[in-house]
Parts: sequence; structure tokens; C-alpha cells
Amino acid sequence: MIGYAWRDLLRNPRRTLAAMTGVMLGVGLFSGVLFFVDGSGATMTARAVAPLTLDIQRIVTAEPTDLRLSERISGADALGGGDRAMIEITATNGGAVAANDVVIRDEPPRQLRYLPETTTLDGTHQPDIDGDSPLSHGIAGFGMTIGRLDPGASVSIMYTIEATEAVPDVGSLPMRATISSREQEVPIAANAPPVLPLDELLSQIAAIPGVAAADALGMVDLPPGALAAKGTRVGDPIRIFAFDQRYLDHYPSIRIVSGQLASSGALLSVEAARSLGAEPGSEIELTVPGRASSIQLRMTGTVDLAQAQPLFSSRKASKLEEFLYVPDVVVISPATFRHVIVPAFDRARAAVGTSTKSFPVLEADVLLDRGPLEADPATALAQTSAVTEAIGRIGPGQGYVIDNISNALAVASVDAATGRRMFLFLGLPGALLAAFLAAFAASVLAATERREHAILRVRGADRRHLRTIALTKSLAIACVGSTAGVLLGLLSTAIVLGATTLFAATTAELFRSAILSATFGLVVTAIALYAPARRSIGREVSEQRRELRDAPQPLWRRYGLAVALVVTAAVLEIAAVRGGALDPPTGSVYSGTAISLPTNLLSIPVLAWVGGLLLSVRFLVVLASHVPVPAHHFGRVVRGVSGRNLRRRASDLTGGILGLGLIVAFGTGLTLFAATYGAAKDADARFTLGSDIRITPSVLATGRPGADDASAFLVPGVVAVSPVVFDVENAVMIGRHNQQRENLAAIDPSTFSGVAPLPDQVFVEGTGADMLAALAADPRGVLVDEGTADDLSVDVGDRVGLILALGTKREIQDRFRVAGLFERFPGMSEGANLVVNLDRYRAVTGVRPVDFFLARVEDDSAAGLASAIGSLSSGPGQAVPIHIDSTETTLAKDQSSLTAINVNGLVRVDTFYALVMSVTAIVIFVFGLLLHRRGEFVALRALGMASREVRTLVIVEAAVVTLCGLAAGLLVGTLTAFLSIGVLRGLFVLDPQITLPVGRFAAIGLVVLAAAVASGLVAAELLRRLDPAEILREE
Amino acid sequence: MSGGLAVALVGVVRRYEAPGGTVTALDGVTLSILPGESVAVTGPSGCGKSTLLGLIAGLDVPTTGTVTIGDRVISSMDAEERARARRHDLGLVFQSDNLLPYLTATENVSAQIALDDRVGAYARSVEVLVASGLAGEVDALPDQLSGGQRQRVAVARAIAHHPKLIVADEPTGSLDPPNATAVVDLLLSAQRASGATLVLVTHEASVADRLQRVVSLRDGRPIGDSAPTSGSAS
Repeated sequence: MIGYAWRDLLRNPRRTLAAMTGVMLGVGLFSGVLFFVDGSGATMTARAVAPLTLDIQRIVTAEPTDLRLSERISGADALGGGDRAMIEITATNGGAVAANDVVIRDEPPRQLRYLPETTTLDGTHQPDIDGDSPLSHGIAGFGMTIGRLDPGASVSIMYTIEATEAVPDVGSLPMRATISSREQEVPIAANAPPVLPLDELLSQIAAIPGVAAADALGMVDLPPGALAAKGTRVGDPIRIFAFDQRYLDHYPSIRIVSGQLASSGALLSVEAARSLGAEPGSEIELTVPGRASSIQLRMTGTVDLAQAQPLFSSRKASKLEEFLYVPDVVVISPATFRHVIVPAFDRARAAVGTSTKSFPVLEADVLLDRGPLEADPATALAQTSAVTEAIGRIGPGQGYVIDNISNALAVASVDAATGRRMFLFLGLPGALLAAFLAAFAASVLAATERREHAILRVRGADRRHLRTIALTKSLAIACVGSTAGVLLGLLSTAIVLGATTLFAATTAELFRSAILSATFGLVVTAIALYAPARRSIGREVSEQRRELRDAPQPLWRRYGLAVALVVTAAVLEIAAVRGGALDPPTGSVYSGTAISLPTNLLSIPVLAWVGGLLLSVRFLVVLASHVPVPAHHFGRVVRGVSGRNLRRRASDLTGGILGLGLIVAFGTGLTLFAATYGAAKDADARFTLGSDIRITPSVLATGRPGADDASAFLVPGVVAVSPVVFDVENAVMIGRHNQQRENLAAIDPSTFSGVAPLPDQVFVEGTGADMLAALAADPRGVLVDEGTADDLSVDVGDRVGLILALGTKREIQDRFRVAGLFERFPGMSEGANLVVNLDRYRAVTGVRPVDFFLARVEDDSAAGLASAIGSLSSGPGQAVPIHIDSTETTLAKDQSSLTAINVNGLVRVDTFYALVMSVTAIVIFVFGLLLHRRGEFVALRALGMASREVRTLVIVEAAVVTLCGLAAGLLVGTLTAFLSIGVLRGLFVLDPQITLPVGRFAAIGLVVLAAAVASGLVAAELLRRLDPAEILREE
Repeated sequence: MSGGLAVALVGVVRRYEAPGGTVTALDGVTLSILPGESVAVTGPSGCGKSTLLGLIAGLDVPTTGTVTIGDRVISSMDAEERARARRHDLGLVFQSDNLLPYLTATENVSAQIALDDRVGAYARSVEVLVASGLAGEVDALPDQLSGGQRQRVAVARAIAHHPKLIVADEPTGSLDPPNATAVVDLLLSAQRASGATLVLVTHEASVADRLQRVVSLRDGRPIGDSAPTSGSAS
């Protein structure tokens, strides 16, 4: 029997090939998707951490101090429930100067209860306060103020507790007392180990496996006027940074422009040096709180810090992504910082009545060795988290850790999982289609198979023999089809993704995917080929004939599956919309929140796809069965025959239309999805950047350009330029009841609309054009973001006060009127809260330079952008050093890693398979037609029908199936794409706008039509070659 | 009356390549059939009857020799010319009816007339079907007809366009005697009415005897050619 099966497969190559093609395409597509996920996931870690400039920061909150606090429970090693004991707290000042405003706070551990009125200070009773212990009273748990603690002095506090439950080991109870002072604001815990000196902290961190470097960074802000040279003072606030050459080596965004970093001197930022007219070698003066005299330092060089992310990234947990740039900077050595600056501030802090707002911050900036990080973000996250925990264990309670890399990886790992699900939902329908295709091929060949089984039975084969034949054939098709499919999947993914990216995945991952795919192939074969064959073998012929007679309609039509699927999809969609699942995103890669794509949202398009297609096919079949046929007039032979054939055998076309429609819908949906996805990414990038290009004059530019210099950037390839003033927290908005710091942008309304995208959806009650017109018409107008307007209780038309150029010597207050509200404003990556007219801003503040220019290019393709950037660099960039960002660079650094994944690549893989499957489906249909109808066609030939007329009959039928399949597929594919795009709203800032890739649609249609016509021609040629006499005798 | 066509086969040999070697189905057959004559071709299975009929109908061409229908050498024509010849001059009846299952009886007949580019196909079809005793079945689909009715529709299709040559390949092979008789009656009456030539392959002596002339074949060669003994004269 096995030999028979083998010969059957070899001697019927067309039949074998038809069944195997479905399996091969199915496994090819399934494995292609899995390989794609492997390859993409393997680069996700690298992509997630690439934009990070600073991996981990350990902020030092406890500096070595002379205050000591000890706490113990005296008189017992163990306590029974209801036992009493004394708690003794001793505070000591071991230093040489007094500690002022000393506060001690304590609460007994959970298992113990404070006994009222038992507290003593150096033996003196301390009364309870409102029934609470004086060491922890009120809602906030205020502590006991000791006052001044002189050098060498100590105080002793005691109180009595009662155990509320048995405590077998008193020594294991956590002691909670803390001490703080005016000089030591961060509370020190009782029994704390000695505070680690910074050098020791750095060396311990550097010794942790996985840490590439740990460098010290000190910083403090000084008030305006604190920096002077050659008798000139800088009128703006100053920031001091302290780092060494190693730090400089590890963070290349800090660029030395002239001179060098020297341990005894200071570097000045380019802006500060320019303000002072200082040059390397100049003496500078720093006025620091807590010092009677200024600090004299020799300037050793200038530094460009405009891109120095590690220095200016916000350290506030809620604003970690913000780049809070301060132009006037002095860089000194860590030694100078620790030995000169920090003690001065300590003295200032200790002085009663001090008004110093900023105090020195010390931190250890940690770079990880990224090489050994696992490719999978989740595994990499476990690695970085382990490092973070190890850092946190060093000197516990003496600081806190900001873990930027784990935040990014946490988001990336969720993104990777979401991406995998998205990939599977995008790719799996294709694999299901291939299974359908295999089943379709099998059903087309089923009649032949049944006939052969009947002959074998007549010759004496029993059911066991037939089952062996079916199993052997199915296994052979599954094994060969699966192997070929895995190779095809690997090849297609390697072509689209690139071999390097694909093989970045581990061999184990790729092997697992290959095995999974082969298993899928076996399942597909079992469902599509073996199960129907086995079922057929198990029944008598008369039984099958009865079933065929009684059930002329397929199962899905009898049970109303189409309507059920469409209704389910509709219900889920309505539930998703009402539940807010499609609302705009709240996630941010910086705040460690990933974007979520619930599985039920992803399943809606799949349900709509199958349900919609089944429904469309029913409709088309009903439509075809109403093809008008004249009752008493036959007409010309081809028209008469084919018209009646379509009308009376429309349901015979169902399989072909359904198969082709499903494939075309899949391809169409993916194409539309990919086009919209790509357009949404580009629109987001353009909105975030503000235009195609952002030109930021470098700090190295001696004369920073103003608004009037915009025309200088109108080089070939650039069609419009608009100047913008923008900074973070550069303004204060004053409402009727309160005020708050805001990010203000000043724009030129007349040119801004020519460069920036102004989608109406981001404006409240009005269009973008209306808003700019309002700003142009009323120079005192201000556009306010919705959140700020809510916070300050202002509305359109209200008068508000604005403090402009906040923190600079040009700081000034003026009155404005709210001209409009917006949700988001284009062009300000940190987010603008207020937008004013640039002319008015300049008039009020007198500030001439602008922060950047937005430019629109003639051709926004990658080549067009590159050309425009080249023109800018070689033109105005030669006169004024400029930094140029484009939508391309924004895409690379500002978007969620989920939007950065290669959806287009996956879609290319899917589209390739969709096209191959479409062609295969129509070929199977046409040759199935040939197989079933050859008797009819040959009879027509025998009656005298010309070959071209027979050809026309075949092509008409194939074309009808193709056109119906295309129509249903395009319709349903577009519908499913709409649903999929609804899911996309979670990924982008702006609502994705449907982008119809008409060219690609036409290409899909033309390829399928061409395949139909070609297979029709081939089928007609095969018919022509048949021996009519023989066929007519057989039939 | 359209009149009949003469049929002439001269030295016709037909060989086929088969897995077991070359098979000679007809081996130097020479045969003349007069216009309007009705001829039965008989012989045992595999003697070459259907091959001979296929050559006369232009469904096949001889390996050597010539087949002439009327004044045209059909064996020299290409497939399209032979098809054209069939649609105009030939009426074909197969052993199984080979009706198109999605056309009614009238439409099956109309399709043949439409192939001949004649107008009034529908009316002529109904006329022929009524004459064939199928007045109540003109709008029935083949599935709704009995085997005998289907074969009568097939005969109606073969004669509806007034062919000059009617070729029938065992038209009664799958029918019971009453239906077989009815079908042969139909063929003969149509042949007589139109004066067409009729060539009918059969292995039933009772059918062959009703035709004017009987040609017997064995192993691809004519072994007898006799005038009919009864049944065809009147």
C-alpha cells in the first residue's frame, strides 16, 4: 500500500503539487512570521537602549556626616505578648561644629505599642502631644525638636513600649528612629552604617559585574551674577558641573571646543565665555553662598554642552525625559567641588535665615556594558535590574537610583510582547489562508480520489489499506511541504529583514520556530488532507451520496456563521469604543509605561475578515444567480452558455470566490494597514519635529540668528522657513487665582502655517488656521493648552499675565489675552503650554535671537531631506554653525520602540505570500474547473464550438471568480484595515489618517487578473490537446 | 430537405501510442457511403468502431489515409476547420447524452443551433423537441429527465440544425429496449426527412438491421459490408 501511495504521488505530479503548494505556502508564511519575530526581537534591546545617554544614576542623599544616632531595646532579648521594655535612643554630634535644629523622630516597630507619657529626654519627662508620642505626633508624624547639639555632645531619649504579640528575637526588630538637622536635611536612620565616601561608592559600583563605568558628577545652581570675569558679570543663572576627564571620555555629547579640562581650573560653556568675553587663561570669579570671598579660578577652555543629555536631563521623576538646558555653565574638578563648593553651601545652609534655594547634588553616573545584554528585552531587563539592585544595596538609605535603562527595557519588553502579538495577528491569517488553500486543493481533487478509492475497494482493498494510503500520502506531502515551507520562510525573511538581523536571533530561537512551523504543517495537512480522506474512507458510498444530496450548501451557510462572526466583531468593536480602548495613548517610553494592544482588539479585524468575506460571498452568489437570461431567446452561443452557467451554478463558484476573496482581503488589509502605519509614523515625526527639518543654531555661533535671518535658510530644496523661540519652563502664566511655570513658544503666525502641520484635531473649538489667524490679528493673544487652562481656570477671551524670558536678565511681565486652546502644539518635543506671537515677544523682551527654525522641504522623501540638509550644511551652515534634525532622526529617537518595529517588512513578507497564494488559488480554481468540466467542454468542442469560444468560456468563468473575489476582498480588506487602524490609535500622537495605496491595490488586482487570464489560457490549451473521442467515451 | 453528404475513407490507418506499445485501431480501411444512406457499423468491442466514427466526425485524424466528407477532405483539415465543419454539417450523438447540465432541454438544443449561427434557435428547438415526443419537457434540466428522455434530447440536438451527416456512437448503449427503439426511430425519421447520411455505431444487431447497410469490423478491418436485410426499406 505504501508503494502504491508513493507511485500515486509521483505519477500524479499536478495533484501532488497542488496539495503540497498549500502546505508549503502555509508553513512558509507561518515560519516567515516566526522568523521575523525572532529577528526583530533580537534587535529590540539594541534599539531600545540606543537613544539612552545615561544608563543608571545613583543620587547621593547622605553625605558623610558627624551626627550619629543609635537605638536599642533594653532589658530583654525576647518579649511575650503584654511584656514591657524600654527603648533607648542616643544622638551624638561627633564633629567639630554644632548641629542646629536637630530633630529626632521615632515610631516603635509594628509588634510594639508606645505607652503614653513615658518619654524622657536626658531623664526629663517629655509630655505627649495631643495623645501622641512626642517623637511622632500629628497626622504627619512630626518628631521631637532637640535644638542645638554642640560638638561632642549627646542626648539620650527613652520611652516604654508594650509588646502586642510575642517577639522571640528583639534584636531582629527594625528600628525606625531618624535624626536630621538644618545642616543635614536628609534624615539619617538609627544604627545606620557609616556613610560611604563618594570615591568608595564609585569603586564599589564599578566592581559590580555588568558595569562598564561609574563616574562622579556634581552640580549646583548659582543665582544670576555669580560668575564674573574681566569685570563683567553674567546676568543669567549659572550652573556648576563637576566631573573629570574620565566622565568626559564616557559621555561624548560633552564637546570641548577649546583648551582642556584641568583639575585646577574651570571650563566655561561657550555661552558663558561669550557673555564674559573670557578666553582660556582668563581668571574667573565665582560667588558662592557660604563664602565671604569669591572663588578665583583660571579658565582652561570652552565647552559646548548644547547636546549634553547626561548633564541636562531632568532628574525629577515626573519629567525624566525633559532636557533642561542652562546656557551659562562652569565646569570644575570634582575635588574643587567637594572641597570648596560643598563646604561653602554647608555653611550657608547652617546659617540661620539662609535663602539659598539650590544645594549641591552629587551622583554616580553608571554606564553598563551593553555588549552582554541579551537580545530579548525582557531578559536584558532582568540583567539591568540585577545591576540596579546591586547598586541599591551599596550604602542603603544613603541615596536613590534612577534606572533609565531598565525603564527603557521595561517598555521595550512589553513592546516586544505586544509586537509579537501584533505580528502574529498580522501574519497568522495568512497561514490560515494557506491551510484553506490546501483544503481547497484537496476538495477540488476529492472526486478523483473517491473514484480511485472505489476502484481499489472493488479490487479488494479494505478500509485499513485505504487509510494507510491516505496516511502515507498525507505524511509525504506534510514532510516535503513543511521542509520546503521552512526553507521558503527563512529565505523570504532573510531577503526582507536582512540576513544579519535575522541571524541576530539565536540558533535555538530559529530552530524552535522551524519546529513550530513544521508542526503547523502537519496540523494543516491533517486538517486539510488526511481528515477528509479518512472520513470519506469510513463511510459507504451511498451514505456520502445521501449527504451530498441532502446538504447541497456548505456548513458555514447552513449555520449562519457569516452573520455570527460579523455580529461578534461589531459587538467587540462597540465595546472597545465605549470602553475607551481606542482612545489616544497615555504611555511614554520615558516614564516606563508601555503602550497596550489588547488581544481582543487585535481579534476584531480577524473576525470581521472571515465573517465579512463569507457574507460578501453569499451576496455575490445571490447576485450571480440573478444574471438575466432571456426566456425565449438563446442568443449568441458563448453568451448564452456562460450566462446560464453563471446563473444556475453560481454556488459552484463559492469556493473560488471565497478563497480568492480571503486572500485578497488579507493582502488589501495589510497593504492599507502598512500604508497608514507608515504615513502615521511620518505624520507623528513631522508633528513632533514641527516640520520636515529643524535648524538649531549651534552655541558656537558667534552671532545667533534672529527671526529676520530666516530667509538665509531658504536654500535649494527648502521652500519655507519659520523662526521659533521655545524653551522649557521659560515663562510663568498668571491666572485669576494662581500661577504656574510653563513652556512657552513664540512663533511667527504668518510663516508658521507654511512649515508646520496643523491638524485640526489638536485644536479645541477651531482649526489650526483659525488659531494662527487669531495670533496674527491680536499680537497680545496667547494660545493655551487645555491642561494649563484648566489648572489656571482660564478660558478663551480671558486676560492673563505672562512672565516672559523667565530666569534671564530679559525677564519681564506683560498682559495677554487667551486667543484659543489646543491639545498639542506641533514642533515642541518637550510640549508647549503657551504660544504667543513672536513679534510681540521680541517687542516685550527685546530678545532678538531665536532658538530654532522650522523648514519645509520641497521633497520630503529620504533623498529629498538629505539633499536639503546637504544644501543647508554647505550653505548657511558654513557661516553659522547649525545643528539639523529631520523627520528621519526624529523617527529614530523620539518614538516608542513599538512604532519603530519593522511592520513594513512583515507586510512585505505577507504581501509576497498573499500574491503567491492568490495566484495559486485562481490556478487551482481554473484547473479544478478543467478537471470537473472537461466533459462539458469537450462535448461543446465535438458539437463544433471553436477553441477560442471554449477559451472564452473558461476565461469568463475564471474572470467572474477573480472579479468577485477581488471585489469582496477589496471591500472586506478595507473594512478590516479600518478596524486594525483603530487599534493603531494607541501607538501614535496623532490619529492615523487612512492612506489608500491605490497603486498597490491596482497591482494586486492586475496580478490576480493576469493570473486568472493566464491560467485560463493554459487550461484552454490543455483542453484543446485532449482527445475528444476518448474523453466522450470516458464521460 | 438538406440532402446528405457522401463519406469516403481510403486506406485509413489509425495507430495509437500506448504504454504497452503501438496499437493499431484501424488498419487500412477503405469505405464509401453514399449521400442519404444509413449505415450501421458493427463489430465486437475494440474492433475500431468508435475510432472509425471519430474519424468520420472529424474528432480525430487518421495516421495514414484520407477521410472525405462530401467534397472536402476532412482528414487534411486542422482542428478549427474540422470544428467548423461539424457545427454546420454534422449532427453528433454520443453513447452518454453529454447534455450540458445547466441548460434546459430547449437550451441544449438551442446551443447547437446557435453554434451554427442560425436565427430562431429557440422556436426550432421547441419544434424538434415536440417532434421528439418531449413537449412536456422543453424547460426541464437534464437532471429532471429520464435516461431515454435525455438521449432523445441529444438526438434532437443532433438533428435540429439540419445536418447533412448524422453520426451516432452507440446511442442506445445505455438504454432499455423501448427507449432504444424510440431513439433509433427518431434518428431514422430525421434522416429520412432531411435526406441526411446516417452513420451509426452499434453492437446490437436489432438496431443495425434497421439501417440500409451494415459494415462489420474486426481487428480494425472491414470484414463485411452488406445491404440491410430488413427494417430500413420503408
